[in-house]
Amino acid sequence: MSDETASKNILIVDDEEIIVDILMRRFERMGFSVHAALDRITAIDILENQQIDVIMCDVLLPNGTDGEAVLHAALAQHPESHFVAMSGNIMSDESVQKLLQQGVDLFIKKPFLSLGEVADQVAELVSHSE
Amino acid sequence: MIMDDLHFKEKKGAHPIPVHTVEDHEEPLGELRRFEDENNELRKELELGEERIKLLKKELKQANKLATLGTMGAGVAHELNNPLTVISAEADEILDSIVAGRLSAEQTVVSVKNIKQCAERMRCLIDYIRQYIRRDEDTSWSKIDINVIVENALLILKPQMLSQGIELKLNLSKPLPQIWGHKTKLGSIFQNLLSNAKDSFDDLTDTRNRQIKIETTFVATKEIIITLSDNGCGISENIKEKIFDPFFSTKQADKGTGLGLAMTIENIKEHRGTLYCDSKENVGSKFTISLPLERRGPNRKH
Ligand SMILES: Nc1ncnc2c1ncn2[C@@H]1O[C@H](COP(=O)(O)OP(=O)(O)O)[C@@H](O)[C@H]1O
Ligand SMILES: [Mg+2]
Repeated sequence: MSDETASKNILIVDDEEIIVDILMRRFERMGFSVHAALDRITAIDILENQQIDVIMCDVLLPNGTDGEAVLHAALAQHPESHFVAMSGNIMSDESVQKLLQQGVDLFIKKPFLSLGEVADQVAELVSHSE
Repeated sequence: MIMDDLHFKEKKGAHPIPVHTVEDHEEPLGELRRFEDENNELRKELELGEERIKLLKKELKQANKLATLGTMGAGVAHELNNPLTVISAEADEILDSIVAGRLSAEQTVVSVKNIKQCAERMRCLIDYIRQYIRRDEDTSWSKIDINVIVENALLILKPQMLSQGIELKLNLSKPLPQIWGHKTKLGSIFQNLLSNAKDSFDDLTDTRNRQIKIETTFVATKEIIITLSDNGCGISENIKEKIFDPFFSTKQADKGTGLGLAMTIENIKEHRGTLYCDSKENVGSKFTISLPLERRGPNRKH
């Protein structure tokens, strides 16, 4: 749709299939080329084999390793890409701060306040890279 | 002096029994009475003690429940937030399509179905929590499928396990004959044992493939056997005897209360079952529960 998001590649990682499905629908409509993974192994595999501009990834529990592994792979494979962390967990300000320090560009809490707003924020992030 | 005394008493004539006779019998009779009094007092104390034990047992149960609920908190938030995310996002989808004038019946059906499915998931979870908190007296004994109890306990624990990189292997034999049991109590058995299994990986620094296995089997006509095994830290020989003691815990205060296994053993006994623990330090632990099939009421004596 918009020039900024057209032909951009987004990778959505969440163990909740319906959430992946909703985000896919939304970002496809916005003109993104959407890739999806339900687990970290698939996500890392995609990161190693595809051009990815933005990653939206559920980071699960604060001490979980899944989100972190995907983040490291993203930083290693596509240092230019943007990383959006999502979490439905009660996360302390410190752990969010830690994520941001590790290279996360945006932190989004689940449930989303508004799906439209989330999509806008991600689109804006991508447009800034131009 | 003595004579005077005797004389005085005789003169009063109040006692038909001669004074010396009374003095002869006073010792043994009084002793008997004292003994009876003491006996009664002891009995009262014993009754009071029994009452106190009952009360303590009840408090133990409540304390353990609250503690488990506390550690469940984070998991519950996660498990409710996910379906809530879907519900709210799908509602946004429908609204946005209306605003944009591209509402399709087909897509709306998909969205609404997703909303319904997630609402149902939340209902199940809330039901489970409600049952868990509810006082024991409120839920009664009924016929129960152990597999369902296991699956319910996993509603909250499974996502936590997965996110901690623990692989869960389920081998539930289906269908299982139902057993006569107490839903909440059976639930808390698995909640406790599985939490322990999950915690057993917490302090490990090696890169072993973390696994928890749950198996249910039916031993014809007699009993249901459930085994829960982990390849976590295991239990060292010198504490093996203590793990079932109330308040024995090797965990930090915010993680362990030491009430889990004490409660578990109580609950299993009430179902006339047995619990067997097999563990090797640094290799893992296996807990085997056997629950009899025969339909009888709760075991009150234990
Ligand atoms: N699966 C297990 N693996 C290793 N240790 C265990 C396991 N289950 C129980 N334990 C040991 O038994 C102790 C008592 O367990 P429990 O009564 O559930 O109390 P808590 O979990 O609150 O410490 C634990 O602190 C732990 O040392
Ligand atoms: Mg415990």
